[in-house]
Amino acid sequence: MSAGFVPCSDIMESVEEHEYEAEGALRAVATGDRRALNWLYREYGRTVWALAWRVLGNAPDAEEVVQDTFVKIWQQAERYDPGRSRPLGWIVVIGRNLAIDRLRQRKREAATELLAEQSLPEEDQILEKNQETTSMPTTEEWNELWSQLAAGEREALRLSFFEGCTHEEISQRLSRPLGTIKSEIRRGLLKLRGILKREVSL
Amino acid sequence: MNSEWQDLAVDYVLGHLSGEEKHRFVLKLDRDPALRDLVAGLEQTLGQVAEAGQAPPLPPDLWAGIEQKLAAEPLLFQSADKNSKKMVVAAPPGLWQRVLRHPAWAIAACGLLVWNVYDRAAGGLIGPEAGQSFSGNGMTDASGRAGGAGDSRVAGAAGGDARLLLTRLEQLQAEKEALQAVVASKERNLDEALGQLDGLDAHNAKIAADYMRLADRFFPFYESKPGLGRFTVIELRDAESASDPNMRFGIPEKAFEMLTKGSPLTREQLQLAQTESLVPGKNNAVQGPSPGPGIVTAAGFTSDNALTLSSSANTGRVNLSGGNSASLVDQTGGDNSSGALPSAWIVHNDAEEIGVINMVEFPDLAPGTTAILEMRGSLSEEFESFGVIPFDKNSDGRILYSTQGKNMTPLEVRIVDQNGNIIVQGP
Repeated sequence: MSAGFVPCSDIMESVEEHEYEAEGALRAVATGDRRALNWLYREYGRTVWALAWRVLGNAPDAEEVVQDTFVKIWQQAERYDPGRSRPLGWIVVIGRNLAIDRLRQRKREAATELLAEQSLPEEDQILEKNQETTSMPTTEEWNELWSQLAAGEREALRLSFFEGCTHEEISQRLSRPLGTIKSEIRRGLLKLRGILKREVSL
Repeated sequence: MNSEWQDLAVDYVLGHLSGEEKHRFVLKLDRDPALRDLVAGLEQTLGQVAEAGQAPPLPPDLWAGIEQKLAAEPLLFQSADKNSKKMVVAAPPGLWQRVLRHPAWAIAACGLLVWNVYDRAAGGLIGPEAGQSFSGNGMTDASGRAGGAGDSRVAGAAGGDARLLLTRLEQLQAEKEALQAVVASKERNLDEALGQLDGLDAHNAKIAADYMRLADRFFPFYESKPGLGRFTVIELRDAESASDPNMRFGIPEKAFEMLTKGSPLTREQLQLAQTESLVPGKNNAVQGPSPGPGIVTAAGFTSDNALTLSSSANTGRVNLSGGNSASLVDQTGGDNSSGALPSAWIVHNDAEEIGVINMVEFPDLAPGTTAILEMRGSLSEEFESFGVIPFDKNSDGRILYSTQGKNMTPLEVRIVDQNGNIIVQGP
């Protein structure tokens, strides 16, 4: 697998130090240090951008999400608890929630537009429309990473992480039992974790 | 670590846990370093997954947009809790604001600026030293030459070269007028800056006054004060906040302290309190809201044995019991024995835009009085009516209301009579 999305070993040597720095930056942001926020943006802005782009599929919405994410970090940095999560995880959760909120808002707007045209949409139609706009060109490493998951795991995890669907919604959309969906998501993410961990330790 | 906890860790990082399951997991998380490592690792994985694949380059002007948004929200009212670390948060001021915030610095800054400008102005008008200064600074080529050769020219004028002297005089007059214009402009800027400073001070004072006003209202509702009901609400949580790792701490913590006569809230209790869910009633029927906007009585709760709220005048505590259904007790996530966590701050998370207000010892209303629930989402908004409270059916004092269609998360709640007179009010 290429190193496109896997940290190189020399980078990993300083991961702990980097996380320590990131925690320090969050503490500094909590005291009103704008430079620390800028540091976090330079470190994690790209990640949030990529995530927002993948969820929303267009630059204007993704830009808004990145901006809102860092505004939220600025407002809520004092609530960051290093005992509960690492900086990257905390920031990704904020960015993902904002992106999914925006995605849902877009779905509602799409539904409203269709209603206005007196054409009641099927849920699938809305979802299809959304999928069309969010389908991304994939890179080699992305394909390679995801190809190591079973098809069911891949799809269930994608709907869960990038579209924020509940287990029940995924079960309905993929027409598979709820228990199967839960297992696929859990297995899929743990498998990805294992793959990335192995790559990192090489 | 067994596979059950691994599975729950995945559900947790993906936001699929809620209610009792989430409570249990968070408690375990705090006690189990291996589980914390797993969660951190999974979050890291999600970060890597997020970054994988192809996305366009990060737009170069995004940071500027962030700064603009931060500048557009200079003051945030974050918490009505006096103990909150950051009660009123202002965006960090720039150097200019920091200097001008203190009157002494502001006066000194004005003095320096005016002195500097007048000094330069004077340099162009009088004295050979000042003239050399201009020349040395290279301000203008014309004055430099004049400054350097002026003495001999003036001497020449004494010898009869009046025309040269007049030219020099005109130059100096023009410079004087130009510098006077600069001084006037700087003075205007200073006046403007000082005016903005006054505005900022006034704004801060208003925020501080708002805070005190809310604090004054907040505390009486948690004390047995004649004429005021104990208003045990509080936090409205929707699906967004339920999945948000940043819980709001202030109000539930304070509510607990007041209700338990100052006993500190343990971390574990706080976690339980923050993740309570609205419990479905019997036969899986969520009690209310009934169709349409407005307030719905929660009388159905007691008849279905879902939740019962009781209060003790002796201890000041509010007790929660789960009726006859053991599963419901479990779902509340708290210790339901006597003196357990009050349910006061419990608000829903399983259906967006629904909230519960628990009221105990609400004052008797005069005959013919109608009580209306009003809320607003921010201090700058007008209160919006949520309908009439059906007290005749609301024997246990619990109000279930819906914000559906209102697009608002209540910040401030009040109950008024039909003439708009406030009966109770609180954040």
